[in-house]
Amino acid sequence: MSAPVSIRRRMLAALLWVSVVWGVVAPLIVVLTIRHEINELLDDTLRASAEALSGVLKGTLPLGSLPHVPGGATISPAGDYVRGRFAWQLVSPDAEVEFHSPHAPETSLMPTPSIGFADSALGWRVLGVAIGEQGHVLYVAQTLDERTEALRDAALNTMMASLSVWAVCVVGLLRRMRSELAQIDRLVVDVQAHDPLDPTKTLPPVTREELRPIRDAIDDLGARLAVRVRNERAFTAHAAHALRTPLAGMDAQLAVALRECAPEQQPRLQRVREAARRFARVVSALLTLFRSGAELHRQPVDVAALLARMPVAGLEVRLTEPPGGDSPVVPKADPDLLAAALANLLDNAVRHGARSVEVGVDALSASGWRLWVSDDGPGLTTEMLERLQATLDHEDYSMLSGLGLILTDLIARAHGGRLRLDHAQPGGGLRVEMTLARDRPAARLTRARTSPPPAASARGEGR
Amino acid sequence: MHLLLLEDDPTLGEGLRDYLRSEGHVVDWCVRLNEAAVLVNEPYDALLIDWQLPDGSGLDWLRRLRQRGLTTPALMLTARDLLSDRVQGLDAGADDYLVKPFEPEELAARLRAVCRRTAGTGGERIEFGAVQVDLTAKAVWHQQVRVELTAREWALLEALVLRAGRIVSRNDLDMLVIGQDAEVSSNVLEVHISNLRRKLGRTFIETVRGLGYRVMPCA
Repeated sequence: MSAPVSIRRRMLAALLWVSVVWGVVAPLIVVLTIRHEINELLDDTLRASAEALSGVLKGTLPLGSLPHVPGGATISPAGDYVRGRFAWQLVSPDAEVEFHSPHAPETSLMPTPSIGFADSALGWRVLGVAIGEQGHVLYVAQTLDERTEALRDAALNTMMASLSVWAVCVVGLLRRMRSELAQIDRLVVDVQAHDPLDPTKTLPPVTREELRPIRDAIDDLGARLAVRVRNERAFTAHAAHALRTPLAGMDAQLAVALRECAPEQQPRLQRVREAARRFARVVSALLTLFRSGAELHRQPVDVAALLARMPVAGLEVRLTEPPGGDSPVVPKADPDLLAAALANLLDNAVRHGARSVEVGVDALSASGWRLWVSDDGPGLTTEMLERLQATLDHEDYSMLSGLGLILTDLIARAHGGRLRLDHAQPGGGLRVEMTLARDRPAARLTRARTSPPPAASARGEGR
Repeated sequence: MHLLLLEDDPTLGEGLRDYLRSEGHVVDWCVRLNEAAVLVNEPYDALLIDWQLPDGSGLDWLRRLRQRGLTTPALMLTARDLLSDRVQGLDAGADDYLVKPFEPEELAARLRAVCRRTAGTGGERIEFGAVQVDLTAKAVWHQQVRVELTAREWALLEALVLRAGRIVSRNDLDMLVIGQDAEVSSNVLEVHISNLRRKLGRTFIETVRGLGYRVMPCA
């Protein structure tokens, strides 16, 4: 299953794309608009200048009566404020410059007489106006560089303003997004702290309209879950009473019978009592494992004492001594569950032909303990061993035929550990190793499981 | 010890009654709360109470007894093993909590422990001058020599030792040692007291005239 998409990352990506589009399109539109407006404005200026100048020239210059001066005569109007950015020429019909402003070129701005606006090859924006009746043309011009500079200044300032607005908007949007998404985090914290089984606690109200359906759905789910758990607990309590009380009664009756019976009957009664105790352990383990809200009662467990209380007929059980005369390792576990696991492993061993087993327990540095049971039975083939191990690793218990390994694996997992299978020795035998994590809570004591079709079952325990 | 057992399951109730009797205790067994309510005013050494009973909750009954001021040690015997159940049981006034299925040997050991704690004698051996008593091993020594007692004598000694320093009336001793359903002659108690004094010294059991008997622990 692929990882879910992050809303935060998706919104950030969307914001980035919007920013890029904004950064490209907005300045482009602004530049084009400004360019158009500036050109229009400056063209109007040229037009006004041409009208004013043509009026002045008509009244002051005797057009066509002046002597020809190569390059034209220079007329400096009062106030040279234009400083070369503006220029004018009075051009004869044969494109000879007769008069021009000081900064105007001495050659005609246009190669042929041109009326109206045009761009000169000399780098001027030119407005040609017919003047007089002899075909003279008055060119009023402005340098294209000046226009470009004006356009650049306007565009730059506008873009800076646009970018500033964009930056402020992005920062604001990011902060808003963070604060809005924090509402989801807050809901998560509230849900994590919520206990649907505690009637005094309710899920706090949300502060965003969009989160209300999620909150209501979680609340509804919690309420339904609480009903199911309460029903299950009530059922389990009754089932536990119905199962545990007769077991205790059987043991009490057997204890009395053992005291009162003839000596020759005692071994038989003792065996019955041991069988009843093993059955009681299995029932207790099952009731603990398959119940909502069940918890482990971890405490130091004396494995030797535990083994002494569960003799199995026909099976010699040896506890491996710690090396170097060290004191025995005492794992911290639920004694009832550990007893059930050991009892099942011993029963399993004797049922599959073992005559003796070796039990060992050692500490795994800081991580926990390892408890192993190694028997001298025929064992399993390597292929079966691997298949069985894979079955346990995947918790696909439908592949197993008996309860022993399932229960032991569940008990190991309840202690945060695992079950490992191996050959006891090269010739045969099975070694079952159970790890127990140190003080780590179990991932879960019960689980929902979907079983594959029975046809796929491999009789793993039927070795 | 004189015990009141409240257990509705016939197999378990009968089994526990017989087992505890074989341990030398006097056991009154009830299956309903209303039967137990009649008996509970007797001077029991301990109450063994099942949680779920046909006519109500053993836990609620114990809570009411504690509210009335009854201090007799009580053990809850129940199939409920959740931590919250244990806490609830102990908070209601139980001195110990035993989850079914349990072994009767463990119940007997816990009973001894609870009664030792209640009597303020936490150790194994309790000193009474020249007499030493080990309630766990059911053994008694006089001047460092082990003394053998009969079951009745031991029950009488245990009843007095568990109430060391307090006066125990003759009626209470009759009830504690002989129980509800035993038919005995009226002077049987005096006979056992006399036997104990003979075995453990004349000054060990003090007669408080008109009130009863008492053993005094070492200061």
